[in-house]
Amino acid sequence: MLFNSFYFIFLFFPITIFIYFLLNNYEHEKLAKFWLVLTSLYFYGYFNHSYLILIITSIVVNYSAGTWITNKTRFKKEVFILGVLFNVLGLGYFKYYDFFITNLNFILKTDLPILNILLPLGISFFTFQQLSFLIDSYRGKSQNYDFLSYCLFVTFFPQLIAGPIVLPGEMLPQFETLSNKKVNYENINRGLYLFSIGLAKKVVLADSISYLADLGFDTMPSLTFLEGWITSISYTLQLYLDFSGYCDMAMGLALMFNIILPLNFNSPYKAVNIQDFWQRWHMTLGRFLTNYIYIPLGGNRKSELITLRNLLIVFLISGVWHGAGWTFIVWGAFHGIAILIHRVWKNKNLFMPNFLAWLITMFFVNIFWIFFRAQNFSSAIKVLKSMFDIGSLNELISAGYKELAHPYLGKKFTLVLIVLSIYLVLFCKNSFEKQECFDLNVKNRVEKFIYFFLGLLLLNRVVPFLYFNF
Amino acid sequence: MTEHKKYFKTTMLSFIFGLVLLFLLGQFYKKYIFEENKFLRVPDHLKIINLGSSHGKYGFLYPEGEDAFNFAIESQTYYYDLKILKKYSDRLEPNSIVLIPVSIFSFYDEGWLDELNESYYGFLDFKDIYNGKKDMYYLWNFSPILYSGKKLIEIFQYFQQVVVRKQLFFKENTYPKDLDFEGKVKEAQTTSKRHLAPENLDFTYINEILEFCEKKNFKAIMVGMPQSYLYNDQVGDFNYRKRIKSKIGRLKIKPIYLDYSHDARFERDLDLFLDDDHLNEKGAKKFTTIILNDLKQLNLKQKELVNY
Repeated sequence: MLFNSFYFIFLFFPITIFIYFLLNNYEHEKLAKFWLVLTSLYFYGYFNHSYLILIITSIVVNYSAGTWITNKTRFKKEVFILGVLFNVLGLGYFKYYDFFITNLNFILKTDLPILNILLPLGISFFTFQQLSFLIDSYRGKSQNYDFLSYCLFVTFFPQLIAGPIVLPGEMLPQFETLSNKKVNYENINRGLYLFSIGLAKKVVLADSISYLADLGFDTMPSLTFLEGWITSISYTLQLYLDFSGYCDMAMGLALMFNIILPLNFNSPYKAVNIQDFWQRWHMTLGRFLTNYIYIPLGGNRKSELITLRNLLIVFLISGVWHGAGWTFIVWGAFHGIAILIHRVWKNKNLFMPNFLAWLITMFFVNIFWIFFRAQNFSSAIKVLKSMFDIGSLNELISAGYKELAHPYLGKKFTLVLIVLSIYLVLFCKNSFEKQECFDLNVKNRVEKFIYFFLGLLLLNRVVPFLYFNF
Repeated sequence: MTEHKKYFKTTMLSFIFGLVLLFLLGQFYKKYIFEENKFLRVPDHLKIINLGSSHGKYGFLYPEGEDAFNFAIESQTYYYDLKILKKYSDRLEPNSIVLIPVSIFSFYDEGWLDELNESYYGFLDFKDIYNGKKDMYYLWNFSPILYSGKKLIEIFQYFQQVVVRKQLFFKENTYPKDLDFEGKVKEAQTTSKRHLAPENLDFTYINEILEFCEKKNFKAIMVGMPQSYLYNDQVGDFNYRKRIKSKIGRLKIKPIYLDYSHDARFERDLDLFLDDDHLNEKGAKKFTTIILNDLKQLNLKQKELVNY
């Protein structure tokens, strides 16, 4: 089920939250929690029933392993290793098996069968969350939580499919806090506000702009200079508005249940260097990789060379995590190299004016996203080549592009949305900042009303979230 | 907290107000702007009707006072012709004439596009929608604007025409004036190529239509609609024989077939067309007069008049 669907907005969510607080109100707290787990599993199973078995197995195995590690003294390490292997191999099988076999066939000239495995939704996210539970248990940081609470930590529907990647320590206590079980109108108002912003970002902006990105990457056989830039900028905006829109909706929904999810985006396109960018983009993934990979590898505690190596490993893993394809690995590697260059630059105390630093950062981020989006290298090269093809400046927009771009809302309207998105992304407060200064005034109410109804009016174009693919 | 509670309540009220507004605007759209709103005003005691896709929709324009109705919709397949005929059969007098336009793609399964269903959400029952989506069906009927926000733009676009000038919505569709001869030929090539593409024969629904007509005592007549020479040249006589004439002979019940596709009164006169294969208003008036006269003169009992 998608957040951006009528079924979710007018049926699933209102019924779920109403019964949840009703049960809590009559002090059936366990039942309320069970209700939330049940509805979350329904939410997940709505996409594909068969994957319910997968997520339930994963929950049972990880909870058993984590509880063993916390409570028993024998075989702690063995159970921990088995638990980690279970998660990594599971993720590897569903996400990377076909990619691995394809490459093996290519290198060894073999003909091993491809299984065409359909990637279970949210597997990368709930696997990482459960890995963090196992690791925290092994480090002795985890407390004993009952099975139902653990189930809720993994399945809580606002964050189940595409994050933010939450940690047990920040979520499990929230589910236990007594005051969180009562209706909090302030949180509901703030949550609705955030949800409305997210809905508009996703449905009005990201989904409209996506057309131009898809056109450039997938449909057009070649692009002019201007078309190349429109394509790459469209995707750069689409990805941010889509994913951050999803996160706003997730945070807003969770807040209505009195649960605070961690911030995942903090105006990343305002970043003035690549490190700054990664401190603002998909922050919970960055936090996970720092805590569970970078630091265990030694972080920056050893030599500078080891630090650089660790950084590169982290970004390569980030690339691989995003998808089974060489384009993702290249994307991760480019970001890793950029981080290394930035670190060397910073260590030498070299200076660059903020505007120039921002321009260079955005230029590279925009270029790297091409590899992230392209189906294959030839598509990436096509877009990339056109962006530097000054020779095609005599023809700004080709006839073929004009013809294909026009039917959808009208090319000019989409271009207006691109300009509006750039303005919102670069010069306005982000949704979290807006929510922080949310006040009970008419302006906020009107704003919420407009965002919500604009979203509703375009809700028919059901476009899944981009990060559902990862 | 009470402040927040009050704020929440007023927010909910404003949302409900917004939804009511969308509902009302949706009903306005359905009544005045929905292109198929003619189905909401189908008269009783009909004696002549036509089914069909765009060829029928643009080809028939019955004179005022005639007990006739044009049931054709763009891209309509025989599946929906059948559903419409069944739904509105109680509006037809016994022995009514049912004109069934036949084009070179009519007997072929073109595959199904979900978008085609939208036109039928507004007047057919859900059970009649092919692979219909229940949520979308109810959403459309609650408010077509929620089904697609673009309809709100249409309301603003045609508000003056509908409310101030009190005219029903009419989407203009004419041959572009700046299209030169070469452009027209190119357009005919594209159209004919598209029309000749489907290759899987499917007689299921046309047979059901003919059986239903027989059961209800309606007289089914298949009509080859007038086409321009630009279109006919591209399609070729061979395809007309292969895809229409020879196929009519394979139907379970053999209907009368009146073929105007190459009628000299239309074929060469591009002033009667809005594009290579659709009549315009002038052409439709002329054609409807001709076919109504032909029907009067035709002895409907002598089916052997027609060569298959």
